[in-house]
Amino acid sequence: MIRQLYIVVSAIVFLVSLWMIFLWVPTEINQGVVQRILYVHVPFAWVSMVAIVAVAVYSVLFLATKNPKWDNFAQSFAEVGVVAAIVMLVSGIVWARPVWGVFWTGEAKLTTALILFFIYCAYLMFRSYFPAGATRNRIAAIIAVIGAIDSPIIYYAAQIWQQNHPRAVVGPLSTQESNLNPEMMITLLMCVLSVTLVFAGTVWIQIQSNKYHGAANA
Amino acid sequence: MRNWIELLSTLTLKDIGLEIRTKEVFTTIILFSILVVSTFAITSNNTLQIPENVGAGIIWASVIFSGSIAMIKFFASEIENETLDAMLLMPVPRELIFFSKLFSFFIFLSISEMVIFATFSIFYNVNVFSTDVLLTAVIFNFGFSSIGTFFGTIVAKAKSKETLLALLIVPILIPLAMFAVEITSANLAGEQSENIKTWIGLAISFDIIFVVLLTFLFGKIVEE
Repeated sequence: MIRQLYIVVSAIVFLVSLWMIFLWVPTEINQGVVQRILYVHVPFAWVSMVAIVAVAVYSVLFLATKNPKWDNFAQSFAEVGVVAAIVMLVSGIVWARPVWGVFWTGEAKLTTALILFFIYCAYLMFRSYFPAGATRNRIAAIIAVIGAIDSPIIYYAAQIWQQNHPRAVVGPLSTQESNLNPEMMITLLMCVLSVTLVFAGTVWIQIQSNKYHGAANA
Repeated sequence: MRNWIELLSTLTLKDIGLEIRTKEVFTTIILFSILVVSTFAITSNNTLQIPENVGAGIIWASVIFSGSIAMIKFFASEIENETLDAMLLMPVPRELIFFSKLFSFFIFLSISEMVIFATFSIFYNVNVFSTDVLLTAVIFNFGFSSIGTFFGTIVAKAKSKETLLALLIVPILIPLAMFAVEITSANLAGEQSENIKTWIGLAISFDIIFVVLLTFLFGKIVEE
């Protein structure tokens, strides 16, 4: 019953956010229609960051307690989080071209997001290439912890790098601050909510699937 | 303490002796890197004028990829002959085994890099050798060797080792790669990087954090 209710609520919130993005929210005056990518990009960036933190936290819990439940949680968050990261990266690239004049810059946040995406791809690839068992799960958790420790260093390095290599902002908005008006803010929050609901639901399905898959392999 | 040093040197000399006989790691790093550097030189129409950061990128990308392939070779014989398992059965701290592998690979990588720098200098008619770049190489190689040894041990028994190892170590090495490219490109331009002290501080901190962390975690990945 709760599951059906969750699906209905998520579907309604999702449809409402689509209506808000395409019909309700006003078009941003400087960037034009392309600014609407914000309502996809930010929610997916948010859930992919949540996923990365969750993978690190559950991996530490797994290493501390050896309870396979936490390993399953970490794996499920990584699997869904990587898909969210792909949407975040692609939407960011598509948005950057008309606004900044380039598809990609060496900006610290972009570099960190890309590298973290690679680290969690490696985490998932390791899980599929290494023989299944307790050793694989333990090493995968260690990889996730190393990735989490490395991320602030990557961000710091990218920031120093950026000082010497100013980002190539050549678009019309390069010097303008953009502020969201209340309607835009409400739409963004609605989109964050809808993507978070879909994300949480997908992670839950993935956890169940991995649980049965793990039990079948055991 | 003295026993530890003796053990460490014995284990390191064992790897060096083995490498002198087989020459697998040296051949892999040197040949692969020369191939990358010369391919870039040939495909860029042998133009001597390339942007400094591109040149520095070519050097360090070839070091990273050839190093990660060589790391597979470094562990291949240990796995084939089951000597890694035999070493782990020895009544010595596992940290010593980790450090012996780290030091051996550090030596192989450092020597190979001198050949790579010389090759790049010849093809592009520049002088890569300078105090800053050599210091950078030492810091970079130490970090690379520690991360490479750790993940080399991990992937030794996995499928598609080469792809997996590159995927594991390259993203983690990015801060060190940025540091190395920054210092080298400034050197190729005949200058010194503006943030050289910050970069060296960052790179040394990176090395310390990862050597301490991986030494601690090495015991966990080989426990069985």
